[in-house]
Amino acid sequence: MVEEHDKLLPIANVGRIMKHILPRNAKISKEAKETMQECVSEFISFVTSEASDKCHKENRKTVNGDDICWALSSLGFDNFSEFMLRYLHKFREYERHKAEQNKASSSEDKDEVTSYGVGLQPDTSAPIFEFQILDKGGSSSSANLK
Amino acid sequence: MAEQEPESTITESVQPEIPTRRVKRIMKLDKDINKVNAEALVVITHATEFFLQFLAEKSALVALEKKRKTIKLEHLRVAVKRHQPTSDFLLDSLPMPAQPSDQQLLKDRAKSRANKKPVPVGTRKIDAFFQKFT
Repeated sequence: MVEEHDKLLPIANVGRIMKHILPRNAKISKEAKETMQECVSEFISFVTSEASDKCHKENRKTVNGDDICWALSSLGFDNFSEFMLRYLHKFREYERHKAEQNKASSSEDKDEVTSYGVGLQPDTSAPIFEFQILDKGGSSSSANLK
Repeated sequence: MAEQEPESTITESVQPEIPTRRVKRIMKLDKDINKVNAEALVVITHATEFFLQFLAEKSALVALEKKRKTIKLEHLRVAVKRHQPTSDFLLDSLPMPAQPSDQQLLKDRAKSRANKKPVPVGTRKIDAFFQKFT
């Protein structure tokens, strides 16, 4: 049995993410916050379903990152798709680097520290991996949206 | 963790703010979905955060246009309507707005209830005035 709250993201997280993007004095009604919770669940289901359909058509069983990016683009979220493709590329680089590091440390071979433009810090246990999507001349997320 | 950034940038970190376990559970609600690999889960989680920020921003803009400080459902609805791809999948899922006539009726009732103050002791009621002359 799936509990009602399992179908939604925690409202605390939803509220926090909204607060990050809104001005300090902005208030959100409880109803609006709860509706946002439902909207994001719909978004997750919608995008995943689209990605999954593509996999079915191509006789693949596992949905990967590229499928999600494709689904975002296919559903009209080009801006998101572009952003996520870049993120995915860097994420894969980071994973590759991590794998290489593990390999190197296990063979007791000290490699040079490779510098990455994204500011990776392989020494820390919780790596800081940030990059920004810059405004293309409109508001942060409205550029290139249909 | 997302930081406070100027309005024109969105910062994403490799640690999403949304719990990936919950995202996975939501994805699994759809029986047609087989497997989702780890990177797909991370990508969809970040995309969802991005979408949430996007909706929040657009709703705030609508609230501002209407000179309101509190973002309400009606502002979210307008924001959704204005973005075609979002509107396509989301508009029908939004809760129905309360009918204006119902809302007014409720407001009026609440107002009349609030206006009923206890009368001071010794006040003559108008009934008593009329009874005197019958």
